[in-house]
Amino acid sequence: MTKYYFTTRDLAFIGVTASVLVVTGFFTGRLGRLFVMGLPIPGTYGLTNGFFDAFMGVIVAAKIRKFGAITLLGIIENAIKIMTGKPFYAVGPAIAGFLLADFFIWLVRRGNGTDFCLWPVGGILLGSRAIFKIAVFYLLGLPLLKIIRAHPLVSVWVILLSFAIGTLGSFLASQAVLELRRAGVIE
Amino acid sequence: MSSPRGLSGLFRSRESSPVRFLSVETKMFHLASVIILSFVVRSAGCLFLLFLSTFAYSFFARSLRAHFFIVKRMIFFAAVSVALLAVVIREPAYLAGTAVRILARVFIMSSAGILFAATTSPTELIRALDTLRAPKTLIFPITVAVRFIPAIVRETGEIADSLKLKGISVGFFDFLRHPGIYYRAIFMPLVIRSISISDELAAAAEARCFGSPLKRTFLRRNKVSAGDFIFVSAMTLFLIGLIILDGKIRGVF
Amino acid sequence: MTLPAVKVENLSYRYPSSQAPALKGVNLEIGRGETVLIAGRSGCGKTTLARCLNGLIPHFHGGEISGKILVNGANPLTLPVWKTASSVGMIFQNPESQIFTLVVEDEVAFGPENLALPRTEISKRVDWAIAAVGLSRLKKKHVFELSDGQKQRLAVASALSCLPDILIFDEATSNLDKKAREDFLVLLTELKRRWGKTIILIDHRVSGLENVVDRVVLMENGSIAASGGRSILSDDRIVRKFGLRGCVFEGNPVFSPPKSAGEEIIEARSASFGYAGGFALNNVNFSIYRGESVAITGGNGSGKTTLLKLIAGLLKPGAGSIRLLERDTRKGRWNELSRVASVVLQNPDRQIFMNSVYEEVAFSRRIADPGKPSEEMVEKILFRMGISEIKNRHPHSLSQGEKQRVTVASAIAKRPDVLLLDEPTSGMDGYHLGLLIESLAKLKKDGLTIIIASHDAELLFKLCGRFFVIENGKVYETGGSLSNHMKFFCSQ
Repeated sequence: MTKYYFTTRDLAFIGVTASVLVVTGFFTGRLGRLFVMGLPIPGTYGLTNGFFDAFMGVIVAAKIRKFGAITLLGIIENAIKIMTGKPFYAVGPAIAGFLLADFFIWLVRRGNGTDFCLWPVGGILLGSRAIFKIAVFYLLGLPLLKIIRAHPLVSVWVILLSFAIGTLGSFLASQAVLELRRAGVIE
Repeated sequence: MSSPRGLSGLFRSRESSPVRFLSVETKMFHLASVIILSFVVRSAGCLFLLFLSTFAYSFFARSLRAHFFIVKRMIFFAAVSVALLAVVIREPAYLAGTAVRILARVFIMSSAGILFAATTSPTELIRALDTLRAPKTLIFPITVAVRFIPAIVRETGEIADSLKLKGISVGFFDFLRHPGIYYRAIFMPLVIRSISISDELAAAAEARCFGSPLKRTFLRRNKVSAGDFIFVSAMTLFLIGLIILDGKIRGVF
Repeated sequence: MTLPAVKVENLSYRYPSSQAPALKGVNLEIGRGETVLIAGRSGCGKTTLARCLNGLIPHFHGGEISGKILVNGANPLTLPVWKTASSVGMIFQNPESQIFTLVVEDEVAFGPENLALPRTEISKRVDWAIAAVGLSRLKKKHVFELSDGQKQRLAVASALSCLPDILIFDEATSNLDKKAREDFLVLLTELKRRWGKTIILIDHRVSGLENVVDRVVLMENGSIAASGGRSILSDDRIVRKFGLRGCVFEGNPVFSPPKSAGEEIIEARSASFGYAGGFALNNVNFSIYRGESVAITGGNGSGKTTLLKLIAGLLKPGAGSIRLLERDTRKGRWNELSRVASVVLQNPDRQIFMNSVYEEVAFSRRIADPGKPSEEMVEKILFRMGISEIKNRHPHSLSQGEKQRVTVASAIAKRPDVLLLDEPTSGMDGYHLGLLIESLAKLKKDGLTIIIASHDAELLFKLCGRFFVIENGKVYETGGSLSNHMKFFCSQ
């Protein structure tokens, strides 16, 4: 019998979760930039939706429990977002962030860590994504705002803020996972 | 929470759009080239031309309605960004130059994306991905994700309705005042509904032979027509022309 | 000798997340071309048994299974699900979550496409399956434009296109109104008579099935407790014992005239409302007085839920007015309106979010009267609704019937003047229906005004004294007779 790494159930949950993230992204996408300072600074665009990415990422990791699950979630979410006009240069860093988070989850599982130990996942996901995005801007020589060139510390603040929002999202999700298990919603 | 009618209209094309003669692959080409070009082109005039071409295509494709609901939000945020920039960086020349251009690029990319999503049906998309040899592990979740965007919008709306009926107002500032309540009242039901919907969906897919290891065939194939060749040729000429014009304006050529 | 369509021997099964077995030593044989109803209370194991027959258990759900199953001579426990699916088609309860594409013919083609059949063969199968369920005219139609009944027919066509010999319907008619359900039962008879399909119905609603099924199998606590011919569906004792709904309910409503001398709670004056899609309620006029129990009925999509939302102030009338205790719903604030009218929507999963039943009810109390002590009152409500014993459990770990009573408890914790219920018995078995009616009757006795939007005859006839019918966008009161409107009522 042919056995696939991800079952239909896994793929369906990843699909529905990606759908949730596309919808929340629509609501919150630009709010992140507005919250920070209203300026088009790399790394700020996905800040508020990053909270949802971190939250749903941990839920997916807890339900599916396979390496690659949240990377696949990131790929699907970004594939749909690129079809709705997400800048191409932001896709790579976003997926790389998911991949790093996936490695962290793998390490936690290898160390027999519980789902509660997944609370830093969001910080890693969003923090690394912000670093990668800013790096891409510098590496590709994409036009940067004068304010960033004049004050490089702005980028550091963006990274720290991303890390904090992501950690908050995944911390709440790790609590939610405990509750969902108690309710028998996830096994 | 306002009803995101524009969002519900994405990936729901009935294949009866005036641009139905274009294959998904051609539309993908348009999307990719507009996104890349919006970065290559630097002069304001050429960016404006690129924007005009996307706008004209949207008008022809009758997707301006879907466009409008989403783009008006972008215009609002762009306006806020420019206003804030005007306060932070008090250099009108700079503002009219770099900052506006950055926002214009984001605007063009989003417009092109909405145009693609509003004129492409999920079935067409899946057939195109299959033609491009995307694996089943990608195709199935994408099918589910695009199919369930309207369902998730509806779920979120109904969860918000049930909150209102409990006497809890649902608005941006209410969220800021009581984040704890909203976390529980919106997230928990949404996560639980997502899990139950996906389980039902997966069981239904299995019961319709989805797990078969055979290479999926299709009732219909996306056809590449003469219209595709004409569109791609015209688009290519336009893109080359735009790059040359941009180079001339900037003194590169 | 012909092989039976289904043969189950000593089948036992336990879900991975559960300690207790869901099936215990089940033995069953179903002959080819037979139509068999497997019935019983919610949670008795009937859906689990169906999922064993098409291989979803154990391949999809996991868990521990023992015993033997042969379906069309093959063993679904060892065959992959996609192979079993070619001989056993399954139609699920909710049509929305079994549709993958947007166009009718694409949806029907999904199964054959997965089987990698040549395009001409897929096309032939699609045409045949669509014709077999009577949807030929709608072949190119958008699935969102279909009615609930048509969507469920589409689900049957989608299963048929894989050419299965056996069709399993898992509570497939629970979202359908009376007319759609009757049409659906005619389709089942056709599938059996014309195409010789073996049909297995999983349901606790048995209304109308006495003329469709050949045999009835009754389950209780994971085992087969009784079986017999279709005549047992008319046995009142059996129906009550197994929590079935339908055939034997012959009650009549007790009409009561409007209590116009009392306080007017709701007043609708020339209220109209229209959706962008064209559906509208026009010129709605009525008065509802304190202490009345009112039924709102009509077919699927007639506007029952819309009317409830208009009364609660969730939707605002485009013209005319609806007043809730003198407050115009167009101008009222949420927290004020929701204190007057509490609404229980159809799906409890969207309405409950706290981490215990007690907290769920207490939260509503706190929202209504912040700062006031609520423990005693919450305990009283939990007792009145018969959910004291489960007050520490997580609401999402409860059965649908229990969840529904939790949402009602949560709604009345705000001490509203009027309680609005939208299809509260959808998918509920006879046992849980009895408990809900008992709880609502107590609230009615306490003088609470209750408005129920439903087409469940048993619920409405036992509780309501006034009946409003919605037909073609008009709302009118039936007066002292329902004879012209019986078409709207059925068992859930």
